[in-house]
Amino acid sequence: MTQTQPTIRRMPPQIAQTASISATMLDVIVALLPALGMAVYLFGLRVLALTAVSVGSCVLAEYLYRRLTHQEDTIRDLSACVTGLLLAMTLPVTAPYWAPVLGGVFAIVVVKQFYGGLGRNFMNPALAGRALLMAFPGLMMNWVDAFQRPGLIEGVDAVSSATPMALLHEGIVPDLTVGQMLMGQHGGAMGAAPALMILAGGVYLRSRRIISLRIPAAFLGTVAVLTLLFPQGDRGPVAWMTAQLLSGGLLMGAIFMATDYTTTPVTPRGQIWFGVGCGFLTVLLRYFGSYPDGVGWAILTMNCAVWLLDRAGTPRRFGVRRSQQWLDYWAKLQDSTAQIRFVKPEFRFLARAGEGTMPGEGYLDELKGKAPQVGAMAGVLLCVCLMLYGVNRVTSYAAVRTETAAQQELLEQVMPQATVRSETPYHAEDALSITAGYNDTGLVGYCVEVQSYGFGGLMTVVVGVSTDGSVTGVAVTDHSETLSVGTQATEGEYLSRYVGMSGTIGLEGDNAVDAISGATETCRGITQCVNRALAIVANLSTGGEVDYVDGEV
Amino acid sequence: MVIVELTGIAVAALLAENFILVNCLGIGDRVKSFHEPLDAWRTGFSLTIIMVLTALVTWVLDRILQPFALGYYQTLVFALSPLAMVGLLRWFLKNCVPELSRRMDDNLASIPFNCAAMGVALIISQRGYGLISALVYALFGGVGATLALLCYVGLRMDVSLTSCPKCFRGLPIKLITVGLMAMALMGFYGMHMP
Amino acid sequence: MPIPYLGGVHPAAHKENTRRKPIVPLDPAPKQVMIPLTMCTDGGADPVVKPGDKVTVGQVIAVPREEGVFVHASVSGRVTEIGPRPHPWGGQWDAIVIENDFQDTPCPDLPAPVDWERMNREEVIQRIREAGITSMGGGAAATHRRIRQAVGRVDTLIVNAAQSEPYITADYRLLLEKGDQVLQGVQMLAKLLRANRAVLAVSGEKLNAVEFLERRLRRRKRAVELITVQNRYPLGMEKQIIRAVTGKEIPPGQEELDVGCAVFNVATVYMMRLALLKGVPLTHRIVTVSGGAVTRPRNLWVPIGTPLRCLLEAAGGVREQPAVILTGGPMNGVVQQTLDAPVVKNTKGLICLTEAEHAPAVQPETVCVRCGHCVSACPMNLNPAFVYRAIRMGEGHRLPGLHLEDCLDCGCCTYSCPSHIPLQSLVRQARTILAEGEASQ
Repeated sequence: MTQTQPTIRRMPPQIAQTASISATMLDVIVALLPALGMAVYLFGLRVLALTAVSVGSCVLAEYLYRRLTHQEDTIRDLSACVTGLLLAMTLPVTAPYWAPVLGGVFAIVVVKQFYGGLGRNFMNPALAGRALLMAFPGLMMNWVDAFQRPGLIEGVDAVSSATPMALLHEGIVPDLTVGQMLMGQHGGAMGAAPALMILAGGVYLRSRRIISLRIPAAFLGTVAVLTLLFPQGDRGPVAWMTAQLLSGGLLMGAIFMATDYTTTPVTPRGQIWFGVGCGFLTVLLRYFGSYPDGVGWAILTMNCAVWLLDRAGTPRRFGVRRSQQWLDYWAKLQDSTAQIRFVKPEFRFLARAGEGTMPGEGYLDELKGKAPQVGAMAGVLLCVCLMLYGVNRVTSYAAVRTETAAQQELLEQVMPQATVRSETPYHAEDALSITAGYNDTGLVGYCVEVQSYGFGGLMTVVVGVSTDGSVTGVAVTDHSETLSVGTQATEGEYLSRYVGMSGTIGLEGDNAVDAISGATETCRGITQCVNRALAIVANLSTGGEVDYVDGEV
Repeated sequence: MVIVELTGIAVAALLAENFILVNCLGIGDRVKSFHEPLDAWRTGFSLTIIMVLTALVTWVLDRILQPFALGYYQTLVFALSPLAMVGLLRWFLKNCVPELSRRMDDNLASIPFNCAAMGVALIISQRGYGLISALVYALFGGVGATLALLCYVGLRMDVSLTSCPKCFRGLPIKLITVGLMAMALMGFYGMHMP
Repeated sequence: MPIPYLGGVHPAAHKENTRRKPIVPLDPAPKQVMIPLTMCTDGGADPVVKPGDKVTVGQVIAVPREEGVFVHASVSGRVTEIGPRPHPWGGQWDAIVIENDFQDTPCPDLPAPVDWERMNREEVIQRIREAGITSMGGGAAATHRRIRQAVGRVDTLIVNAAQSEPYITADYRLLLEKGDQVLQGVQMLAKLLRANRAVLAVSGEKLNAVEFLERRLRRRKRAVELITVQNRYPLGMEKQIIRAVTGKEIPPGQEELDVGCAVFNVATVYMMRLALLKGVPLTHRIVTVSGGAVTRPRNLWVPIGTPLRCLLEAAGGVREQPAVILTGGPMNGVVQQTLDAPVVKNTKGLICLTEAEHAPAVQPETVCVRCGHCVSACPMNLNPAFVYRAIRMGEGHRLPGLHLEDCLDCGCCTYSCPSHIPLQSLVRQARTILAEGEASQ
């Protein structure tokens, strides 16, 4: 029987699905167009200009980079266009034109191309570009209301207003109907406002089998469940949940950013956990973070953990029960740790006691061996201690003097009428110290040192309160606010606005202090400190422990 | 509520003030822990234990030093505590749990000069945390450092670090990678549980 | 209620070409047939005729070696030659060439029909062997051997009519035209195997057939369950149809009988009934000729050994130059270099794809974008994306943990990849690497 080797020229299968990468990217662009159109309707032609600049700079950056590094041209796969479009959608319409250029170049060159281009990056380029631009929070958070169409050239100075996201951050449910939220009749980023169009885009993508519903469902589902369980505001949990779901960049993030192929897990279960993780972090940031909307940060953080989710989410072997996987893993772990046992140590303190002619001579030999080392270390330690002591003796006066001078300076700022400051027996919870200020006529008032959270972290504020319950001065001694944005409020004349105020101070309404726009969190933090100080002083009793309610005088 | 406060501290230590990515402390000198997941896990685990022990010991010592106006010895004591703790732990493991010592001794050896151990002591002292808060902070700080390390190692395994221009290969692209991870955590700055 | 599960793809079915075309005999009949001696994977056959002998339809022309089955003449005429001829499985194998005298004289020595109410099991199994029955759905195992192995160990008999490959409608038309006989055949097989449960699995889009069969079942109260399975490729594979019908998954290293199931193709069951109740051996089969390049796609009742060329002629020839010609389905079929190869016992279709239909499969490969479509599509829960990384990025140490021995070679991964990466080939390559690695240790 003769037989020759089979010569099959082509490997199966002989048919394939018709999508390709550029077709997929084109579909994503098509899915984004309704949202873009609605944004133009809401915010004017500047939207188109910004988008064009963004897309153009991304494509140009990719083209130039590939040319300059002698690699093949990849702009045909349209992924740079998609990055540009997504980046533009995260910006407010009042962003200056150089913002998308900077963000786009960073996103394409550093985040994507440095790691090998399409399919090889680990972080979502559009979101990373936006994260870079958040270094200019004043520009990036300048939201305008719907139908305010800033001009093409001078649009940067349009009047900013509170967006629904900002209100939600305060714990207030915005006064909009579901229909209004869907149609985007409120302020926000260019891509955040048109919620309905984004949902339409998502439906389109799903119908073209480009995205699977796992990640958006897990993401939105987690946010929905968490906001339903922990509602804020006064309109009930469902209204809170709906407002949360439809506001901010959540829909855009869940449907377009979190489903980015390259930066999300490959395995189905990994994808679900990715969505859940993003949802959890988003809610965490929205409730407790400094920025009103945390979707972008949540996705970026989960991007870093994708490798772990991929491995953990590997599908179980066909024919092996899922529980078997865990049992196997547990067995492996037990094997590994079984050998770790507690061994009873043998203490041989007196092992060498019997050696030598005199008691302890055995130890002498051992010590002699170690003496040089140990002696040297002990000697060094001793020297260092002595040096420290000496330096302290010599400089302690100077140190105390400078500290007193600093204290005096602080007193000048906080309670100009006082000349001397002294300790008091009062303690209050959450107050670092309560000191009293005196001058020739007697007690002027109290200086209370309190802490609260500003935008970037803890701030320490010293507030001087006179005996009649009004503020004499405020000083910020420690903060981590952003330079030239938050620091506008921690220095300068802003603090003098508090002088003479009393009662409970707010940021709006009567008895309000003029907050600096763009530094609201910082101002709020300082105001909170002032209020606490006023409450403490109002409730001082001779007992020593001060009973007060924060914010109530 | 105490639970809320402690949760706030824990979350802050884990995310908003992640030791490696935000505070830039805790980056040890053991190269292998940046290459292999198992080694990264062991280093992180050792670091967490040492941080908790150091936090405990330095909290107590701080309470002793301050009333006696010996505050200027703080730096010296805080620098020597992790060293002492590591030495103690290594001695203990070697004599009592030899198998664990065999696996983790190398990792433990790289911890004494790890800034996170001393850093956690200093931060606790500066902020005046109580004992429980201090321990929670140290524990979750260590966990956050471990997670950051594991994520970095995973990225290194999966992401190609040789596709960048020649001048960026080696250390620069690694720093860029860690920088991007740190940028992702930027959104958590200032997060607190009211 | 179909049991949902992950995996599989939904290629466009393209069954409208032939689903309404009734099965017609091959016209014009072939001038000569070439019946290969190897049509069964369990063993070949030795000829018992020599060139010059006159043969009739159904006459035994080769007896089996090892565990193979008998081979019969499918046309009447004269044996002209016994020698190497092209084989649709590739290469050249020995075949008996019979010149057709167009008389279709039936063989006078056909065995008597079996009284299946009082049959002796071993006799029946021997009769099935003598009728030359092999699996007709894709594999080519000897049916008698499978039955012998399965007797008494089967809880659920699954007769697979869920033809999930695109273009092929052979089993569908069989259900519509010979539904009663199929049901009777299923019952016979169930009795033979002592199965507790007999299931006829039909895929969801064959609504006409489902309706028709339901009516038949209701009228005759037969003990056959009709289960509709959601149409998804690959349902032709045993593991997938067992999971779809019973929800059980065959653990790695075990086979279908270990979970108490046996899967047979519906055409096999039909031919088995024919052989037992009419004494007719396996000499003809249904072949779907389809594809965009065929002028008149149709379902044909074809003598075994007919050259593929004749099938194409009977379907009106090609109306444009086909890009690829296949036997079997487009997902898993064998590419034919020449149309001289004959129809064998497991040839269910002849597909001629146009350039347009074939184009997506020959797109150039681009970079993997980690979309995960391949992972979702794999019916065996494997991870082709990791395999791609391991091979293309040189991380071979990852391969052992990926369970690649579970791979079915179904092609779903390659089908679903938007970057047109030949994942199936990569998995095969990986398995070779692993095998070599093991061999060298």
